Amino acid sequence: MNGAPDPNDLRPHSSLGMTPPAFSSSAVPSGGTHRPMFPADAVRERLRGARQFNDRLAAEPGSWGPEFTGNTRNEPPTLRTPT
Amino acid sequence: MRVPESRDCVLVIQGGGVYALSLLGQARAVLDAGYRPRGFAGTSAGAIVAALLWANVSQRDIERELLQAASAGPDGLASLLGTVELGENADPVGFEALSRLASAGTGLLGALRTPGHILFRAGRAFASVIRLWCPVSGVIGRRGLYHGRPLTDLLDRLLRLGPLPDEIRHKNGLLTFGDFHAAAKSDSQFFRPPLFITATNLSSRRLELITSMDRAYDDVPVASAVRASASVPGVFRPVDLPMCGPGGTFVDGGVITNFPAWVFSRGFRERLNHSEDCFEIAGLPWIRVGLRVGSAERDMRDVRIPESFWGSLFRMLTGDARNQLDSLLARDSSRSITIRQPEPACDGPAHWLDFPALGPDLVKGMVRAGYSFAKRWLDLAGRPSIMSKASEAEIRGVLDDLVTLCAAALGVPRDSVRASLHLVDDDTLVSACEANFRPTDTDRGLDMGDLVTGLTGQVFSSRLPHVCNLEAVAEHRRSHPAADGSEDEPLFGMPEDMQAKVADQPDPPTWLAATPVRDPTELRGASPDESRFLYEYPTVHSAPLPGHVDGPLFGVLGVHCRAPYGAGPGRLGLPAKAEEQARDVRVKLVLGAMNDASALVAILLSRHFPADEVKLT
Repeated sequence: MNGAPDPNDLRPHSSLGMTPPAFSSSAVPSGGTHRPMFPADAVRERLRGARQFNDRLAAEPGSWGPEFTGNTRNEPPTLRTPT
Repeated sequence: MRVPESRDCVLVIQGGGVYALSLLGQARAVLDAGYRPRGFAGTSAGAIVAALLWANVSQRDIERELLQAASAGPDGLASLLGTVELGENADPVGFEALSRLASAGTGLLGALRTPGHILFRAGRAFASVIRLWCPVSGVIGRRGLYHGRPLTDLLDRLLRLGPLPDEIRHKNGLLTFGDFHAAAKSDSQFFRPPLFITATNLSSRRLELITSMDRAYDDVPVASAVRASASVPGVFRPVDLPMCGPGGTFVDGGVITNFPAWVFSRGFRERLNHSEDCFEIAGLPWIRVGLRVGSAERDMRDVRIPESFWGSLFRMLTGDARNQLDSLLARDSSRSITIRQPEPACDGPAHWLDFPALGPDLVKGMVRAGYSFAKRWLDLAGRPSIMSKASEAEIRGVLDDLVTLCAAALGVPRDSVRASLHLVDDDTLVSACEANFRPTDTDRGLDMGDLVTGLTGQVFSSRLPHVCNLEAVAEHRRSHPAADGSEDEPLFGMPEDMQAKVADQPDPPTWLAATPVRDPTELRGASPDESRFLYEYPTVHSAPLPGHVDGPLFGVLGVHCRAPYGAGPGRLGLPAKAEEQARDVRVKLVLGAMNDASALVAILLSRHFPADEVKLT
């Protein structure tokens, strides 16, 4: 054997791109439990918290907000054309 | 096709003294336009605005407190600066000298309004200040004019008006970053995205990035950090924050960086990835929104004239050079927009330190002008969103081609392959585009509801490609019916009705490969030790594949196959175990085609984002 790959073997000879990452769930036996590495509910809960944060931020714009229609001293800006 | 108008952003707010009011109005317009901050950063006046938004204080509360402060006396918001304390051993004439000192100070401010005579007038005013100041030795020893305690107190009072548990809201002493962290830990309704405040550590002569992300700052009062960031040298006394490390005497963050857009660079993503508190937002794309005051344009000066020479040099050394460097760093950030309001359009006083001029009417007027300016800017720019609808037809074509390629690679009829594209919309993954689905498919247009449900959510949250044996999953579902009280997560977090839509249909899919659609502006090499959300399933069902590149995601591209397993014409011919499927050459071909398609889709989605610079007429 000179270590040359068998031309009829279509399996990849390099593990690059084909090896599951270190945190793969390969150690979990088939038919085992289905608990995620991070509790999905906790992740969902935090995402819900982030949504609440932004909902509150968007709410109640205040008396100086959207009803203000314009300041005549402001010249309209123009966007520079992308180069 | 449905491309979500997602406007997640990180908000960077520059410093600018009295222009904090303009920046507050700008921020309000940005929020009203639908932008959702995933992080805040600010310097000085910008730190004040950023901290108030981060604390989730309502606009009405901010308005009320500001107007009360502006109406408290004849000197408007100057009441927030505090008084000049002379100490126990003060010269009794010091009190009388104070008013003269104030006059001289006003003269100094007035001198600064006239750039042409700036050096001459400033020198004269400075001399008079020193002449008056010297007898008041206690002031010199305190390293600045105003103690600024009313500003710190106002900030702390306002910070308590955001959502907090009662025991924290009513605690004694200033609220610290640790208090806000404890609140978020106690209940997700008190969640706050990361906040960054810049301050200059004069002891070490270094920039300090005080952040809610780092537990090392847990003992730092938020109001004090903001006050430190806003300690204009000479005007405010420095703030001592010994908990920030040795020395720990801080002045304005604007001494080093007045517009810290660089905070939200690659390093921020990496910090998020390693953060146990908010790693799930590390994979979200965003727009960098900058709020600024002041024109980027510079008038030409004939510096052969000594007065112009020294004036230009003085301006460069006192901020112009720093501002230009800040702008260059900001411009280097991808997908950014910067709203820059010229001073004359702010409807404010002529000088950025003229707090005495800020009576209630001017306070209102400046906030309104900032709001109006930013609103117009955003309207003119079409309220840019992360992904553009402009390339929908091309994306449909990419998915059609992908179906053809994958059918050929797998050796199955084209009719048995279909493709789907899910895109992120706030905290959900929505079905954006499908190719080769049949009218009878019950899982058409299936939204995921959040960012972690289904293999699609798994791919999005782990940022890794996956393959999945859907036949094995369906078999598992049949043999493990959901039982009341079971501690097990539903399969891939999918509620039963969602699972039924996928599995209980004529000719259901048997195999699924899904790959991330990565934001092309922030690609980087993958790191194996980052926190990732990953369901822990038996490998017969699904298997992750390594991701060599990483970064935020626009969504997830899926290829589904209906062909049955086993050998023979029209059959899938893949091993049953997903982990072994991941090693199959045909699957590798499919994933290669999917990676190519997802890169193209991402480029098509992002190529219409407008230029980040605004030129004012």
